[in-house]
Amino acid sequence: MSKRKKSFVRVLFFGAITGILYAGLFFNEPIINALCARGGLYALFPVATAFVFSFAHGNFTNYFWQALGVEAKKGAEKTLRDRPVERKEIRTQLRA
Amino acid sequence: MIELTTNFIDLNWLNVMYLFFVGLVGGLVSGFIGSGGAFVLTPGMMSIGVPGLVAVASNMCHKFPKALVGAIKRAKFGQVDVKLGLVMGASAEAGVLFGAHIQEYIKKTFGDAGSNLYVSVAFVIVLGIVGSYVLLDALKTKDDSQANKPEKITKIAKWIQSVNIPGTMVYFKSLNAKISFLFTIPLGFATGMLAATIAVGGFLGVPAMMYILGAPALMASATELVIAFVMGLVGSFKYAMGGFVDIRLAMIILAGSLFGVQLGAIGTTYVKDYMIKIVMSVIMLVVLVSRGLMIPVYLSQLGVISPLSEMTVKILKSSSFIIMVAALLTGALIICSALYKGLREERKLRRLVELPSSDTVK
Repeated sequence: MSKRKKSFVRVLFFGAITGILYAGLFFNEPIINALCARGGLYALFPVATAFVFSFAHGNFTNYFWQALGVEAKKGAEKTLRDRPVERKEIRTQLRA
Repeated sequence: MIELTTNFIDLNWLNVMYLFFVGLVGGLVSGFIGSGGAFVLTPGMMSIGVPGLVAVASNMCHKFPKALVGAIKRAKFGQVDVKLGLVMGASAEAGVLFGAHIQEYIKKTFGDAGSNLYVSVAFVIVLGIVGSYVLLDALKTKDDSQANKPEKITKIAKWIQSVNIPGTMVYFKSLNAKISFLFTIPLGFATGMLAATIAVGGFLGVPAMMYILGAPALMASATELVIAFVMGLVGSFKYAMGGFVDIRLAMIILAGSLFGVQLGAIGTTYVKDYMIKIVMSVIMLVVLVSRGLMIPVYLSQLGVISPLSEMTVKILKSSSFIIMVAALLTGALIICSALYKGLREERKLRRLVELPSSDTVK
C-alpha cells in the first residue's frame, strides 16, 4: 500500500512538471515553430526538447500505471536485488 | 526557408486530441512489438494534412526518446540485447542518412505529392512482403507453442551462426551464439533506410533479427528499441537541420505514446512469442490496405494518371482513414485483452496461492 502511495506522490510531481512543459510549448507556439523551421544548428532545439519532455513525461507515465496497479508479470522483472539472494540459497544447499 | 515554415499545419483541439489518441495506440503497439509504431503515426499525421516529409521527421523526433523509455523498461524484464542493438544501430545510422537524402531529393524534384507517393508505395511494398511472411510464421509458431515445442531457428539463421570469419566474431546473448558482425551491416543499413523513408525501420529490423539472425521474437522486438533510439537520434537531428521537425506534433504524439509504450512493454510479459507476431502482422496488413487506397490519389495529383473526380478522392480518403482507425483499434484491442487476461490470471493465481496454503500446510 505504501508503494502505491509513493507512486501517487511521484505521479503528481512528474505530472506537474510535464504539465508546465506542455503549457510552455503551446503558449509560445510562434517562437517554437520559428526555432524548429530554422534548421542548421538550431536542430539542437527540437532534439533537446524531446529529451527533456520524455524524461519528465516518461517518469510520469511509469508511476501512473504503477499507481493504477498495472505492473509486469511477477518473475519477469529481473532486478539486481533478487539475484544474490537466489545464489546464496544454492550455495548453502550445496554445502549441506 | 519561408516555404518550410508553411509546412507546419495549424492545430486545433480536435487535431490535438486525435494526435494524442493516435500516439497512445501507436505507443501501445510499439511497446509491444518493438517497431516505432510509426506505421500508424505517419499515416495518422498525413490524414490530417501534414506533408509526408514533416510527418516522417516529426515522428522520428518523438520516436527516439520513446524508444529509450521503452528499452529501459524492457531491459528490466531481461529482454534487451544491448550489444546487438548498438551494433545494428551503427549501420542503421548510415542507412538513415542515405534514406533521408533520397527523401529530400524526391521532395525537391516532385514536391509534396511525389513525397507522399514515395512514402505510401514504400509502405505497401514492405508491409505486403513482411506482413504476410510474419503472419504465416505466427500461425506456424502458434501450433508449435501449443505443443510446447521450442521456437525454431530458420535455416538461414543456422547457416549464419555456423559461418566463422576470424576477427569479426561477436557473441550476442539474444542469439546465444557468436556471429560475424559483418552480417548485421546490410540488415542494419536496410533498417535505417526504411526508417528514414517511412519512419518504421522495425518492420525490417525485427523480422531480420528473428528470421535471419535467429533471435527470439520477444528479444528481437525489445532490441529493436535500442536500434530505434540510436538511429532516431541521428535521423531527427538530420531532419531538424533541414527544418522539417514540427516539435508540437512530435510532443503531442509523445504525450500519448509514452502512456502506451509502458503499457505495451508490460503486456509482453503476459504473452507468448507468437502473439507478438500475430499482432504485428495483422496491423501491418490492415495499414497496407489503408495506404494502398491513397496511391491513386497521389498518382492523379502528379498527373501520372487522369485526374480523379472529387467524389472518388473523397471516398478513397475517407475509407483509407476509417481502415487506419480500424487497424489502430484492432491492435490496441488485442494487446489490451491479452494484458487484461494476463493480469486477471495472475491475480487469481496469487489468491489461490495465498488462500489454500494455510489449509494444506498442516
